[in-house]
Amino acid sequence: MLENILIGFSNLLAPINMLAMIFGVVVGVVMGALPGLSSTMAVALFVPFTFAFPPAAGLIALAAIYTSSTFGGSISAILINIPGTPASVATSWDGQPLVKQGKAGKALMMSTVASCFGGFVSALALMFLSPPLAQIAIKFQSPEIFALAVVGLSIVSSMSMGSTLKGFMACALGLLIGTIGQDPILGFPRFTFGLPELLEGTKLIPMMIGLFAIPEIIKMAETEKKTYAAVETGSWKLSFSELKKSFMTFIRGSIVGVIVGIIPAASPDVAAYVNYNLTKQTSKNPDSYGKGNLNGIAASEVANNAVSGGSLIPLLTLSIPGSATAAVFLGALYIHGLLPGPMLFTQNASIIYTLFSGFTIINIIMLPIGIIACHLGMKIVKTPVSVLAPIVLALSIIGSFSISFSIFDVWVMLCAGAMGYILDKYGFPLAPIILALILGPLVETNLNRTMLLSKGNVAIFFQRPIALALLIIALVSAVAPFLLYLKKGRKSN
Amino acid sequence: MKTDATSFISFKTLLKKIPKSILIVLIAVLNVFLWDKLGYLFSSVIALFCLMLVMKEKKISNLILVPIGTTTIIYFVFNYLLRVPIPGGILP
Repeated sequence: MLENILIGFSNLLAPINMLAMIFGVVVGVVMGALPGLSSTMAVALFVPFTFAFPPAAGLIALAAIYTSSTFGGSISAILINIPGTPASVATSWDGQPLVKQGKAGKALMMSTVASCFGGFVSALALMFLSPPLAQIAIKFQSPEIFALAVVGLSIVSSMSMGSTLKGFMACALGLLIGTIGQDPILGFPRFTFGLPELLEGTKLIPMMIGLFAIPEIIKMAETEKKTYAAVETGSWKLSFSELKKSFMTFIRGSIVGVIVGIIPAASPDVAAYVNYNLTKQTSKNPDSYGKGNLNGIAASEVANNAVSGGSLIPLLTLSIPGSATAAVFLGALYIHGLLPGPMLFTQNASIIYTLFSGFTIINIIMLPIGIIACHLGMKIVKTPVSVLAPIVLALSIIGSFSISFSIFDVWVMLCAGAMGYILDKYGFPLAPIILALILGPLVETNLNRTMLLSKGNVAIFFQRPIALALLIIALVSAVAPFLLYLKKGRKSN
Repeated sequence: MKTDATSFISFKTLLKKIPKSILIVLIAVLNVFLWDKLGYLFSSVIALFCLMLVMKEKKISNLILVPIGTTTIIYFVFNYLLRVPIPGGILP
């Protein structure tokens, strides 16, 4: 493993990989800082750009966009109290009071340092925890992979907290769209309406771009224009004692973030909330939180960035995406011809370890780029939506076209976008659709193979302990949020 | 003359009554539809310009520079750097 890591780091020295890291961080920070552009959308929009890169460089660029857009969200959360991404909601609680006290500079610096620290720790966790986890998965065959994919689908339940039923409906829709195309075993065309383009199914990237970008463009048009007051940044310097005070928060937040990231379905915002509350409870004066405590910013930012590496662990080893952004990342892996799982660590070791080592370096170069972005903060944040929306539209159209140079994919993207807007308007979460689109074919193929193996006998799952255990986990994770909801409901009654 | 003016006003108010969501989807559909007919550069510039009008952009400089700038940059990056053959239409 050590030699693989060394190979990874030496691969990083290739100019294309260096370029990918810097490109990814700059794009990610700026897109994250722009209110209205989520990190999921940032990754989806830039997948097409990475085609021209070799797989390792492409994945590094996307990982950089993923982790740095989470950080970028904190810039707008602090400066204008509008979190660029949901992950930064907790950051705005202390960010806004600090801005009012004229300490915006310090708040931004703390957020930058915390983000880089959290991201760096999660990168180390990714590098050292995923290979052993992949070793466990090496024994998995069709029944186990089927069960694992079902676990992935059951995540929808907690992914769409509060609207679980709508989450499952969105998931069912995704599964339905996933069945378009040739039957994976028999080759019979399904739901193609006689269109030859649909034989290979709807392509993932146009679907993702449509679902995550088009509804945002429409929402941008619907919101009223706002003018933001200029912000007194004050001093940019963080004193040593301020950093020392937050050191425990850094350590705790990184651990919380990585663990939350590994648990599928828990997103960066959850990690930020959990760590913010933990920090508040263990602090000597919990009342100062929410009133402009630098430590509060550290707590939120260190945790939400630590999720990025953590959520890639189950993704790369078991192909279960931890969050919506991770689901898009999974789609990008497929595009580059890489199938997540244990084989990835043996057959494509050089690519994967380059990604791992790149991930650590990304979080280091995010520090200087982040500080520059903070100084330009107001300029980035103030970009009017009427300028932003055309750029996003143009990128979505050309991005979906460039997958296989076909206009048909652009139509698919637009249909997905219109569908996404309507679903979003009626409170349906969109991430489960992507999750189901990715996992649906996996479930189907492996269930078919299992049934061929057992000659149609379902009892095979009872003969395979790992598959059975996974199916039980799936059942629990699907039902648990409902039970919690019922329990809460009874309490409030 | 008078009828012309009133019909123009009513057209404007009619436009205001159509939800922006539908207008934006229409613009996007038009963009893809015109792609075959006029080529990427023209269709995209027209669509982005319309989108900015719908979003009530007032600055003339933005209205001109953003659609043209975005389109040409994307065209050159994708066509020459990323080697995506974008159908040019009128322009080769």
